[in-house]
Amino acid sequence: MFLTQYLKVIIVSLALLIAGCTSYGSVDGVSNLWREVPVDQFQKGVTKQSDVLELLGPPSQLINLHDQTVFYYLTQRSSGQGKIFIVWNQVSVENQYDRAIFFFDTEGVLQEVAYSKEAIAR
Amino acid sequence: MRFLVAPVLGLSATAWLGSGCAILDQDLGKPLPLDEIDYVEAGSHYAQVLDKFGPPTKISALPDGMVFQYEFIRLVERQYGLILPGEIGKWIKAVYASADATVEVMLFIFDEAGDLRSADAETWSADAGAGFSVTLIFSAGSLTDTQHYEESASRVLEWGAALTQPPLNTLNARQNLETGANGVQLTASPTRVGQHSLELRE
Repeated sequence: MFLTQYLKVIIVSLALLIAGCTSYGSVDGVSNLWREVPVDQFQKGVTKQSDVLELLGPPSQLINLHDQTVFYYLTQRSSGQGKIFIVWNQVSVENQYDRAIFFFDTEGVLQEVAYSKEAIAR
Repeated sequence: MRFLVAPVLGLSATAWLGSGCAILDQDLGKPLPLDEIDYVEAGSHYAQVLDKFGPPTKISALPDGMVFQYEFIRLVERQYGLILPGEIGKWIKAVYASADATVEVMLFIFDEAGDLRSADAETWSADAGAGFSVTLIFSAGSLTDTQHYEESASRVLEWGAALTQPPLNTLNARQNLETGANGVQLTASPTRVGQHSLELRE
C-alpha cells in the first residue's frame, strides 16, 4: 500500500518536473506613432497630407479611391505562450492589429480619420 | 490520496501508450461586434462606420464607390501523438494534426457619395487542413498549412513584394484584389476563383 502511494507521488512529480514553457513575440509594420497624437489633433477640412506624413511618417499602404486618397497605417504584434508537458502541450498565439486610416480629397485635405479600437501599447 | 488514483492512472496510461496531445490556438485580431451591424442604418456615411468599428481590415475602390471589409480569424489545431513500435519509439513520436478555422466577417459597401448602400455580417467554421509528421518526443509546432488565413491581415506590409511575383501574377496585377483598387476577397478564398484563376495558382 505504501509502495503504491510512493509510486503515485513519483509519477506526479515526474510529470511536473519534466515540463517546460515557452514565450515569444514580434512586431511588424510601421511604428504606431498615432497613439501619441490625439485623434482630434487631425482636423477635417484643415489637416493636409503633409501634416500627417510629418507626424506619422510613410503609411503602410497608400490607396487610390478615385476622388480620394487613403493613408493606411498598420502595426502588428504577435505574442505566444506555450506549456510543454509529457502528455499535454498547449501553445497560444495572439495577433494584435493597431490601425489608423486617413481619407484625403483631391486637394490633399483631410476628410475623415479613425484609429482602431484595438491598440498596441508603445 | 484516493482522488488521485484516476488521474494518475490516466496520466500513466497516456504516457506509456500514447505520447500525448497538443493544442495550438491562434487569434488574428479581436472578435468582431457582429450584432452591432444591425444598428448601422442604410445611408449612413462611411465616417459613422469608421467611428463605430475603426479602420477596416481591407478597403478597396469600386467603380461606383468603395468597400470596407472587417475580419477576425481563430485557428485551433489539435495534435494527437502515438509512440512508434520498437526501439525507435523511445525517441520519436508520430503526430497527426487537424485544424479548424472560425471566421467572422463584416462587409460595408458605399456609393460614390460615401453613403452606405449595403452591409452584412457572417460567421462560420471551416476545416483548415490536416497533417502528419514524425518528430522528437518533446515538440509542439504547427503541422497544418494555415498560411492563407494568417497572411491576409498583414498583406499591406508586403507592398514591395508585389514586384517579385511570378509572371502570371504580374500580368494579372491590374485586376489584383489585394491592391485596394479592384475590390476585396474573403480570407482563404480558393485560388481557382475569380481573378485568381487567371494566375493558375496551385
